[in-house]
Amino acid sequence: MFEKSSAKVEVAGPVAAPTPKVLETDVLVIGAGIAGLTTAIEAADNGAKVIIVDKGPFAWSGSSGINWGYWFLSELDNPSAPNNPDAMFKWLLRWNEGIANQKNLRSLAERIFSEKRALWSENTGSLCVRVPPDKILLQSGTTGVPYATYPWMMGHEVMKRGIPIFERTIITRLLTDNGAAVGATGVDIKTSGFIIFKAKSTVLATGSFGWLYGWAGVSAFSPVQPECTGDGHALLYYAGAELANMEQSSGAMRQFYPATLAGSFGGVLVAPLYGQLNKAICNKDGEYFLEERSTGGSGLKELGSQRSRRGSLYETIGKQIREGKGGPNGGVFYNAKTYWETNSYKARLVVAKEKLGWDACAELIEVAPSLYDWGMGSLAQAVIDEKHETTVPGLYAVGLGTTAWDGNAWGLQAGKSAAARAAGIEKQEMDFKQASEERNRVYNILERKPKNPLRSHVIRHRVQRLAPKYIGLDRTDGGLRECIAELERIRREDYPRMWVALKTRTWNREFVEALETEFMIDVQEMVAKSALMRTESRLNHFRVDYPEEDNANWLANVCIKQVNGRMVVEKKPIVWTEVSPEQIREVLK
Amino acid sequence: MTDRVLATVFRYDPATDVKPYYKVYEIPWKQYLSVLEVLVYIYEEYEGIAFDYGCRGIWCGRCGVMVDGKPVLACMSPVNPGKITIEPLKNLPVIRDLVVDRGKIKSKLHSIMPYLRREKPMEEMPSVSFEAYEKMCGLYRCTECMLCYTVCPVINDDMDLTEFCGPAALLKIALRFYDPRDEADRVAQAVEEGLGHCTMCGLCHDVCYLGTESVKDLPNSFGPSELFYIDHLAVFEDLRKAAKGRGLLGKESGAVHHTAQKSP
Repeated sequence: MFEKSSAKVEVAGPVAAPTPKVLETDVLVIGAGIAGLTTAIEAADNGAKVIIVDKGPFAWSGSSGINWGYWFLSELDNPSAPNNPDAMFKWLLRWNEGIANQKNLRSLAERIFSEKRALWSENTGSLCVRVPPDKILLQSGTTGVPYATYPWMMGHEVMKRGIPIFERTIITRLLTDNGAAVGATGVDIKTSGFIIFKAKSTVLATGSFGWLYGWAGVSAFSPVQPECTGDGHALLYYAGAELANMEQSSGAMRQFYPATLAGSFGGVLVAPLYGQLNKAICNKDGEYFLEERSTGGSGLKELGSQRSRRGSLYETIGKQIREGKGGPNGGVFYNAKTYWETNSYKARLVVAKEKLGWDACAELIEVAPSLYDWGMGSLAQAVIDEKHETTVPGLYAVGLGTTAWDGNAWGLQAGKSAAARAAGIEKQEMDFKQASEERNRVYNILERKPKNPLRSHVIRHRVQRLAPKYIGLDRTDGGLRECIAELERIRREDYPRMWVALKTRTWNREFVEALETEFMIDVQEMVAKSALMRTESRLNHFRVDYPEEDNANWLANVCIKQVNGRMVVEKKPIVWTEVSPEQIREVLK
Repeated sequence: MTDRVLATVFRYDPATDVKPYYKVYEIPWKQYLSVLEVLVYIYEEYEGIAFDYGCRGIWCGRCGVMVDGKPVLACMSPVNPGKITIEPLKNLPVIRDLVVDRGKIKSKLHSIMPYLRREKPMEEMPSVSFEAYEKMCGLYRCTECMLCYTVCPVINDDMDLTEFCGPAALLKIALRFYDPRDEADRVAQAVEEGLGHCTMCGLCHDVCYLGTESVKDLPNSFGPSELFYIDHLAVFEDLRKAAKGRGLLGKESGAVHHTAQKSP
């Protein structure tokens, strides 16, 4: 049986679906960011035939890698950083406030120190930060060497190995057979051609879903690229895999205008990550209400040793806004001038001034906390075991917004596991009926003409706008219920009206966005339902009506899964092997 | 017409159109309106024109278009009230409307082997002199947006890259020329890839968003790693000096002048 999504579209008779291209491989990697590229290289080096698919331009799109870069956790040049697997394990556990799977964390912590990935990256041509006279800061990207250098170099590693690359290809469904993953179906964005990927192991490395957070005119209020529409999370859900802690996300700042810069790294978005923020953020009365903190640097020390630094930062800002000290758009104010000295991103603002004519220093800029969900505090991801296999055999997940810690180290494990599984399967069977039904569904979306039509962007923006309103800072029981009700209404009333006005098969952005719309509705609902269930505040999940961390009741995972076509949310105990919930409670006190 | 924009947009779908045509769209103007916003507005309010973008902050290099004949990144290009013409990056095959096929240049950028070339992998973290590090940092920022390829007078209208690899490829060769970890002969490679054909006209620098002069000496707590600047001509000059020093390039520029862009 083919897994159904919860959104329905009206079938419009026979569809002019193209003849599918069928490709067979050992390991199919979906997503070509840091996690996906690592997985592909590692699987290939472990003897597997690999195909890598990306919705954007190969090695130049995605969430973390293309945006800000990468930390080699083990090799951080930070005296307070954990310097052995045990310390790393504890640091990670504390950092996610106790809810991550300890088996995974242990395997990650060990791998981080055994793999020497910073050296590996330098051998590919990446460059970690050097500080005179001879200090090496083991980062690639971030405040270090250009963020794109790492995926760019990894992309060349993939090309050197002759791994077939399908860029600009959207995966529409995962294929299963007897409950196990056997590949996926995709649409080539350039030609709208249909591709069936037959694979012994399938790895999802699709990154975050930041594109779901609001709509600023040209983008969500998130620095991720337009591809980050939650495809991976939705595909896992449709395939029957279990996801966990979808309410978790991570934050940045957004500005309100210029629209182009509202969620972009070209603007002031990164403000809350670095430097003396207490000098930058004030309320409408000109009060600089944040406490002084350390300047510059990775911020990892603070993140590791305090209760989610960004989470608490946003609580503080949210409180100011609720007290009526916010600006006309419901934000606080950012003073680029007083922050200038410690702003390591100021070159971007100079470019914005010279090129776009927008001077960040000319006025106080109204900003609001936003989301980008690519890790850093986020645990929203598939439930996986230490081999990175999801609850669906043959289906692996890596880099779904949780792995910016070390997408690299995760990818290494996923690559090895996926290759090992493939080696044990002589011939992958596949029932093409599923793929055939999927082909009809996909091209029906392109061809059908519903009554009272709505173009997909109208529906998408309705879904996106729910996020800052209900699942941003001020999460409440009532708000989340309204949000879920509205999503259900959108699915029931709007989605069947979705119409692709343009029928061309050549680079039809409208068609692609229509295919993504369903993912967005379902992922947004997963977030809202998980947030509703977690009646406490933890990490970046902040409930106004439950402002405290409740370790007595909520040292637990919120799991979500499709059962008989319904979204079922369940509270489940944490997976622990080394540190008991009692011990965690003691530490988190 | 102080409150609106009349955008003339290049339209072409090779699957259905005999030839390209232009269509005019009216857009309300507002402060800081960017070309990217104009494109999204047309897409949402009129029809599904084809264009591409990513980061909205010049760092991904995906949204290059020609605006009034000049190559720009749509995200960070302001639009004034009045008329504007938006076309695809010139001399590249059009996939549809404003989306071009960059495959040819991308292949060139891989074929010049911009990654580290060594006989044996390094076994420990290498030391890199600060001088070399400083020279490399800006070059890592090239986003392969291809704007330079549309203005380079050496590259023909048919985007022939056989004699001259083009500005971005030359920068990437230079990156490894500066890189003490790289063992390949990047000077000889630069000459082979047409260094002598470069006329040092500086047009590539002028269109590059990493050529913004006021960013050049911005003090920064993270040093050159935060450098958002490439001095194209200084980089090419370094390559030329090294090539001349080894007798690989004549005393004069040795440039072969190709026909510059033809008028339509």
